[in-house]
Parts: sequence; C-alpha cells; structure tokens
Amino acid sequence: MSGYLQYLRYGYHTLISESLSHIVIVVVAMLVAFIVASLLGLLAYRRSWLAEPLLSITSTALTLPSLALFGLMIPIFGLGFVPTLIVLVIYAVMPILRNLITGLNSISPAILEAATGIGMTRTRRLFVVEVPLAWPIIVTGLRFSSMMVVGVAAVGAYVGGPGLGATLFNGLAEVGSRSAVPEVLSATIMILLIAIALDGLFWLISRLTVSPGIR
Amino acid sequence: MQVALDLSPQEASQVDSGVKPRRSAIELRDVSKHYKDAGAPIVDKLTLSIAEGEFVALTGPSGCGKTTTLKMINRLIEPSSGQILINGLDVDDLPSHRLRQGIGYVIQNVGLFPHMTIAENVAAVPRLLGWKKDRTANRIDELLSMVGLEPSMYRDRYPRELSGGQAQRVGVARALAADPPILLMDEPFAAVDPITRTSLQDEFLRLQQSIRKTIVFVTHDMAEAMRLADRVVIFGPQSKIAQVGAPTEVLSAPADAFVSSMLGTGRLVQLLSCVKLRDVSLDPWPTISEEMGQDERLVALAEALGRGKDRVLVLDEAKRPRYWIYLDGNGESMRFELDCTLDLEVTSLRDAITQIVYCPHDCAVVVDGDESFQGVIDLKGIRRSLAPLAGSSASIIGVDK
Ligand SMILES: Nc1ncnc2c1ncn2[C@@H]1O[C@H](COP(=O)(O)OP(=O)(O)O)[C@@H](O)[C@H]1O
Ligand SMILES: [Mg+2]
Repeated sequence: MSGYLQYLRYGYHTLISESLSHIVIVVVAMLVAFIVASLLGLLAYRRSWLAEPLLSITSTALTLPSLALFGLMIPIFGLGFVPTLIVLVIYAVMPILRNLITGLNSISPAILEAATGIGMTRTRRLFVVEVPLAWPIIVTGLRFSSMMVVGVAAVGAYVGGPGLGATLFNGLAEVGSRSAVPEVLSATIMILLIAIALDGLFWLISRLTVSPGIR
Repeated sequence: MQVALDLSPQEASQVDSGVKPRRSAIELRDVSKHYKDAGAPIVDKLTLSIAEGEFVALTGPSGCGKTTTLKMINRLIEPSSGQILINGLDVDDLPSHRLRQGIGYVIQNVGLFPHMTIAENVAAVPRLLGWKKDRTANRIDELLSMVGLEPSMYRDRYPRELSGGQAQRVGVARALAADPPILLMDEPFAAVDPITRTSLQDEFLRLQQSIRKTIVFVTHDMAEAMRLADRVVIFGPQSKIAQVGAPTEVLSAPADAFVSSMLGTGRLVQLLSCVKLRDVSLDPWPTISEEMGQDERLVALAEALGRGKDRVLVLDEAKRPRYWIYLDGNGESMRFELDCTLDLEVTSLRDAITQIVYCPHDCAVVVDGDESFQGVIDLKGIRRSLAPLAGSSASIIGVDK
C-alpha cells in the first residue's frame, strides 16, 4: 500500500496526462466512427441489399484480435496516433452501424406507411420518424461502442498510441519490480473510471434525447 | 393555401374553366393492377366515379383488392394501367408527396408516431405545409375537440397512453388536420372492440355531417359499409365489381347470389340500420314556445286533445325541445322530462325502433344537428316509411325465414 502511494507521488503526472490523451483519442474515434457509421447506414438504407452483408461484416469484424489489427497498421501508417485512431474507428463503427441498421429495420411498417401516406418525402420520413424511433437502439450502440473503444485504446500503446496503455504495458513489461503492480493497477483503475464516466454520459444523453413516448 | 391543397375543388375548377355541378372528386378509369409474379390481376379494369362529398365504402372478401384500390388513389401503389383523376387532375401531375399532403389518410393500425405527442401527431401535416405555429396550435385544439378528446387533457400525451378507440380518434384528427377535401380510410375501426367500434362509427357519421368530405372507406365488414356509406362498392371474385349502389338498394335488391351470400342473413335488420331518419317522413306534433304562460299552455293542450294528442311539446326560442306538458287530473298542465330524442342525420330506423320500444311515450322526438325540433316518429311511422321498400323488404323477410 505504501509502495502504491509512493508510486502515485511521482507517477500521478503521467497518469493524468495519459488519462487525458486516452479520453481524447476515444472521443475522436467515437466522433469519426459515428460519422462513418451514419454514412454507411444511410447507404444501407437507400440500397437495402447492402444491409445484410454490412450486418454480417459488423458482427464478424469484432472477433478480430485487436493486437493483430494494430500490428497490421505498422507497415502502412507507422507508429503513433494515426494507426491507433484507425483501429479504434474500425472497432467503434461496428456496433454503431449494427444498431443503426437494426434500429431502422425494427420500425413498424404501419408507422412508415402512415408517414408516407400523409405526404412525407423519404428523407423527411427518415429524419422525422425513423431516426427518432431508432434512436434508443442507436444510442445503445454508441454506448456499447464507447466501452469497447476505451478498452481497445489501451492496446494502442503497442503501436505507440497515446493513452493509459503506455503505463499498463510498462507495468506488464517489468513484472516483479516494485512499480509493476502499482502501474498496472492504477492504469486499470483509470481505464475503468473513464469507462464508467462515458457510460454515465451516454445514459444521460439517452435520458435527454429519447422521446418519453418510446422510453 | 399551400401548394399541396391544389386539389381542393375551388382551385381545381379554376384550372378547368368548364364548371360542372357535382363534379366527381375522384375518378378511376380502367384502372388495373397486377404483379408480375402473380397470375390474375388484383384489380381489373376498375372504373368508378366518386362525387364530391360522397361517402363510398369499398367492401368485399379479404384479399379482393380493396386496399390496393385505395392505395392507388394516393399513389402508395402505382397502377399497372389506367388513369386516376382527382378533381379532374391526373394524380401523376403532382409529385406524390404533394398529392398525399392534400389527401387525408387513416389506416387500420392507426400508425400514430409513438415518439410524438398527440399534438405533434396531429400537427404532422400542417408542419409539412409550413403552417405558422399559432395557426397549427389552434387547429390542433379544434380538431381534438372535434373528435371528442379534451385538448388540455390529451395534447401532451403520447400515443401509448391512449386506448385503441382514442388512438383511432387521433388518427382521424391527424388526417383532417390540413382540412383535405378527400379522406381515404382503410379499415379504420377494425382493430377496436365492437362496442367502441359502434360508437366510433356513430361519432364519425356525425362528424361527416358537418365536414362533408369525399370519403373512400375500405372495410371487409358489410354491415359497417352499409351503416356508414352513401354508396357501397362490392368487390366480387376475380376483382370484378359485383354491385355498386346505395346501401338500401343493395340490401333490398342484391345483384346476384354472390352479393346475397356476402350480405348474409339479417338483411332486414341491416336495411333498418342504413335507412336514416332523414330518409323518412316524420309526423308533426303540437308544440308551444317555452315563453308562453299557463293559460296559453292550457289552450294548446286543449287543442292537442282535440286532435287526439294528450300532450304538447315545449320548445325554447331556438326551437330546441325542452319538455312535455300534460293535462293532469285537476285540469292543470304538468311537466314531464323528455325521454328520447333522436338525431335526424345519424339515427337509423333500427336505433329508432330500439329507442321507441323502451320509451314510455311510444314515440320519439326528432331533432336536427342544431338540436332544433323536426317532428316525431313512432313505430307506425316507421312501418309506413318502409312501404316504398315494401316489396323488397317483404322479400327479404320471405328469404330470411
Ligand atoms: N406486392 C405484391 N405482390 C403480389 N401480390 C400482392 C402484393 N401485394 C398484395 N398482393 C395481393 O393482392 C391481393 C389484394 O390485396 P389487398 O388489396 O390488400 O386486399 P384487401 O384489402 O381487399 O384484403 C392479395 O391477394 C395480396 O396477396
Ligand atoms: Mg385490406
């Protein structure tokens, strides 16, 4: 315990800055992923034959080991922020896209027919009726995706990415030394805290943006 | 007025300068629909003209193409061939969403938007048309009251907080929001329990008396079609029209065995259901104004007795019936509350009979939509008014026995 406090005394600086950069890359990855998933989702909405293949890709892609994916990035993008971001976006897109497509497909045909029948154009129907109705499912996808990305981001240290992965890998590399356990432990705790904070954030977003009529 | 309402009759008649009286609001000319994979056409060379303000029911067995026909009118389904005109304009001349904004549409599963409040649901079309906020807000309240939902109580509720009957009312309000001249309804009352259905039908009939829309109403329920419509179209096998006519015509003279079998037994009861009090002649009754004093009342009662009537109906200044007066044992006028008052426009002979049977005065007071007195009717009067249909109703009774 005293060893842990001692570690924090000189390590808290690194811990805080790594936490911040961890948060930054997660947030950036989520934003990019949301945009990419929305575009792909829109494409699948316009071309309904695309929905099936996209759905199966989204579920199989998640089974790829992240370490392998990071490794594949090195020869193309080298080390650092960019390859990490790309891998994170690939991971983050999957659940978002999946829930986007599922959510849009789950809307009752009667409601869609009513929307068209009263004179909404297809685009109007999408934004006024379909997206709001699919929104709880979409937000769940975002929430799940963000949890996953917080974890995968730690592995990004393998390609020199930012975040708490550095401290974590450090600790793991020097197992047995005095600082190993405190490093691994504090990095893990920070990752957990970030995950909890993001989860809370998405809970709040969902409370504020999902219509009470479908909550 | 917005572009979408180009279909309103006045504006259409400006386009077409040759103004004809009672022009047809909807005209189907040789309209067919067939799907490539299916053999026989679903709708086969249908020609039908629906007048402005007319209430037409499309009815027939399930799968006979009623819904398909209805959806071709607002282009939710494109016909394979033929032409559809609305107020003389080809429906293909407008972008389809514009066309639909000018046509009210009510479907069986209501299709209310669950994430929108009742007010937002009703406001859906006005929003599409870009109405100002306060105009929309006023219209919402007006419509909710019109369909019998207290605005302050229901405005901010969500569809899931409504019963089936209430949701269906909101569905009607939403369809009427921008005051479209035409209303298309597909089995709108099918998903509610029978008691609610009857009261929705009654309310809707009453509403139609005041709004006078051109209505195309799809139902597989013959009795419902007969009860509501001015004219019924009965689809037969092979997508052919088996019979078109006013309910009384169809009920008293079914075109063929198919139509008879669709009508089933109890045709007389249905016939009674679809003849309204406005279709029969009412009997007069001695009345007196509410302002008259005791002496005038006694005189009126004496005159009434001379004509074989033992009571006089008291009317207020708007000619609304208030109560009966009788002569009691001491030669004083005595007041009795009204027992049954029937609405000229909506009460059917069948309902009238039921009411009269339970009414202590074996005759019922009939009023119009403004509640002003029109006359009385009793069982004899009903029998007399059935005389024009006598041959047929006798044959109905004969057949059904
Ligand atoms: N897309 C389609 N392809 C082939 N057949 C269809 C299609 N849509 C509807 N049908 C058929 O058209 C027929 C008429 O349907 P519909 O108009 O809904 O009947 P109704 O409303 O009178 O019950 C049905 O037999 C149905 O199976
Ligand atoms: Mg149908």
